[in-house]
Amino acid sequence: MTHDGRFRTISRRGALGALAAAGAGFALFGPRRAGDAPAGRTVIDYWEKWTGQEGEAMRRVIDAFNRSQDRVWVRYFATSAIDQKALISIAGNDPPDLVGLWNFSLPAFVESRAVTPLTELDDAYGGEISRDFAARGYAHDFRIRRESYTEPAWRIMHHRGVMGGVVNTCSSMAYYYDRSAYREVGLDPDRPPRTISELDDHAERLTIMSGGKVERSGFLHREPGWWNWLWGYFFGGSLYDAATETATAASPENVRGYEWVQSYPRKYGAQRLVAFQSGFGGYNSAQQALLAGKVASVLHGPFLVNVIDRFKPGFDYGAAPFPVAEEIYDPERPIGLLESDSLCIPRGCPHPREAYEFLMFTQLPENIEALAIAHAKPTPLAHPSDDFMRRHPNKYIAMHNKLVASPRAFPKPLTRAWPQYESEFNAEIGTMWELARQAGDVLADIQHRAQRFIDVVVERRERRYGSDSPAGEGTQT
Amino acid sequence: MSASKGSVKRPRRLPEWAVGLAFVSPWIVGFLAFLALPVGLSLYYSMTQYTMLEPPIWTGLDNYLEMFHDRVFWKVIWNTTIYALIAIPIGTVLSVVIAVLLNSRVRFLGFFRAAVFVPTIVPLVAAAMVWMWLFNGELGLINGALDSVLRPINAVLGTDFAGPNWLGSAAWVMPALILMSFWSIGQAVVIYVAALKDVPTVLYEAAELDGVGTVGRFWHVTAPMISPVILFNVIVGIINTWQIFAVPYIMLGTTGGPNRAGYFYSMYLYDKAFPYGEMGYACSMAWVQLMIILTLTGLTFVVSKKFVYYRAA
Repeated sequence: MTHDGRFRTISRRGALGALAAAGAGFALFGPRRAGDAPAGRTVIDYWEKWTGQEGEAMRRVIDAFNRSQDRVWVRYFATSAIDQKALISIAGNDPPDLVGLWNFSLPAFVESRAVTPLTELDDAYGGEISRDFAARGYAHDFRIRRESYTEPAWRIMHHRGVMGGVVNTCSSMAYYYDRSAYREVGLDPDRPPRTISELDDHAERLTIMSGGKVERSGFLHREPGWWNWLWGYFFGGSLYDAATETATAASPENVRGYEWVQSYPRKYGAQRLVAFQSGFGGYNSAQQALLAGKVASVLHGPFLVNVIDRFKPGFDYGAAPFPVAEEIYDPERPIGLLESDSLCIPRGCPHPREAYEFLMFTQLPENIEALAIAHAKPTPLAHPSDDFMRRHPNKYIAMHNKLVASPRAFPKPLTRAWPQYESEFNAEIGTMWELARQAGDVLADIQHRAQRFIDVVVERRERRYGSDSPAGEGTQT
Repeated sequence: MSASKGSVKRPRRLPEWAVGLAFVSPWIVGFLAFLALPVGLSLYYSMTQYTMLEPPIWTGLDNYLEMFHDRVFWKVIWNTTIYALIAIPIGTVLSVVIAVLLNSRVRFLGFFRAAVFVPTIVPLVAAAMVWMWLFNGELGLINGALDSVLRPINAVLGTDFAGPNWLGSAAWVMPALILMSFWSIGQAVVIYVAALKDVPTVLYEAAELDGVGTVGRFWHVTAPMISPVILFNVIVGIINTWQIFAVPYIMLGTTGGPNRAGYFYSMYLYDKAFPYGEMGYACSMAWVQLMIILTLTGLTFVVSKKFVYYRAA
């Protein structure tokens, strides 16, 4: 403002000059891409979902790779909702070199040709990289081969015959229980339930009611509540027939599974259980239901021990394959959910050769095992080392490895329609839990809607690719 | 002077309109690239099967027709409508009443005005987290307060009444969300207070001389005089409720709680676009959403002609 109170006007030349100066300043001193890659190296970007302890473990693998040679530099970016961000970056033709998805993301990415089939890259670069690894002192003649992995782990690297990603960590879910609670009610902590009827019996004895309220639940299906869709599998059911691309949610086995789920709110009171559960703390906290003594047993993954070590180191936990219906019990072929993180190379990534070199590096047994130990997960490898078994933080790692290798290990259904299919279970589990409808009726509805989603996927695929679409592998998942 | 002027070559000047355009060009480019083009493209994509990872396939009106058979679509329409029908009228009445109270001469007026307005500047995520704990069925303050009332009743009647599972029960999710919507009425209250200050005092004096009581003065003077502001807030409320997303998403998760009781239109639109990879369908939903908001706004304007009083300038 001038001394006489009027605003001073800026000339056009002045305004343009100021804009140009601002632009030059931004170009010269503006934000730079993060990273401290040494000069002369090819920088490859790796997007992953892990932060904290899990992210640090992956960083150690990256550091080992960056130290092992002087041509490539891997830069790590941790981000949430990675599947959606990967999708947008690939659609925008600016993908990273590597992206860590989940195995259940593969159908969408493989069917839309958004990831590079790894067999193509192996044919092009595998031999050369393998020789380079040998020269650097790693395993001789190392390749990504079927015989290195358990059969279920190898299977979930593929979708419709295409190898879309490798398993860099995997998990098998099991029955986790509080051994001291078992002792407290006179149950043998070394004899966890094997069948559903045994589980019901244990749960009843472990449950404590006081003044019309639940003080401790013996077993709670909805804690932690991440897998609302899988209860039928423990009765021999499955949700999807990949060969016929059919939803099978309303099969008699699944109906039996969800009738069993409903038997708990029926026995203990639906609203009472909902109120009880609302007082639980988060998974990664000391108030977590199992650690806090609110529940005596849950379905959970091996990574639970990292939370135990952090918040309640002396907690006396036990783990066993999740109980199943009596007629399908087979200790040699346990049933359990198999989940994995899948490392993929997006189609159109800037440095496919370098990305594949790093991907192969992550699959060296020592790296897979180091990552699995840090994440407290089992190994996807067919032959775990003695060192892995000795150093693993989960004392039940042999059981988890057995689950991963079991022919009856099941992944999330491998269909592109799965996110919508799963959301139906997440929405309807409350309906079943509140006993608002019979399980059979709800499952029939879910199956009907899921089939519609699947039909859309199939129709879209055939319309887009016709006979060029990859073949189905014909498995039930 | 004129001779020297003729000999100096003046720089060529751009016409005024060109200079004006050059100065607004950053906005024009931004508008075209980030608004007009995406809006146009979304209309096109709404008539295609589009997953973002693959080129779109033209399907005409299929996406729009599919909505008629989509049970979840009707569920979110129902939820959003119920929420709007209850939250907007109650919120409007509540904020007008609070504004009238804050417009009176009471002690600590500044404190009360701040207390009403401060919640609106709390970030939505933080507010949602706090309300999640308030609504907690087992440990929440709301049920704690209810329990202290219900306990003696239960003792006398021998009943077993308890506070509801606000966010865990399909029947209570919607009341919980509506209750929480009143948390942020401070913004509307501030606008109503400003409008109340603008009501000429001579009108109240005239009404008083005519023997009109307090309620009558409010009904026959205050309400008509602030009716344009009420209309404005109702329209903003309609637009906001049809776009509600963050609070139920945080409090209830991706499927809107049990039986999708808190699943709203924008949440389903987002799910269709990204997690489910059906961008074409999501675009068609966005256009239907726009049509719904435009229709409701238009209807509100038509109805308002009967109720809204505009003062002559």
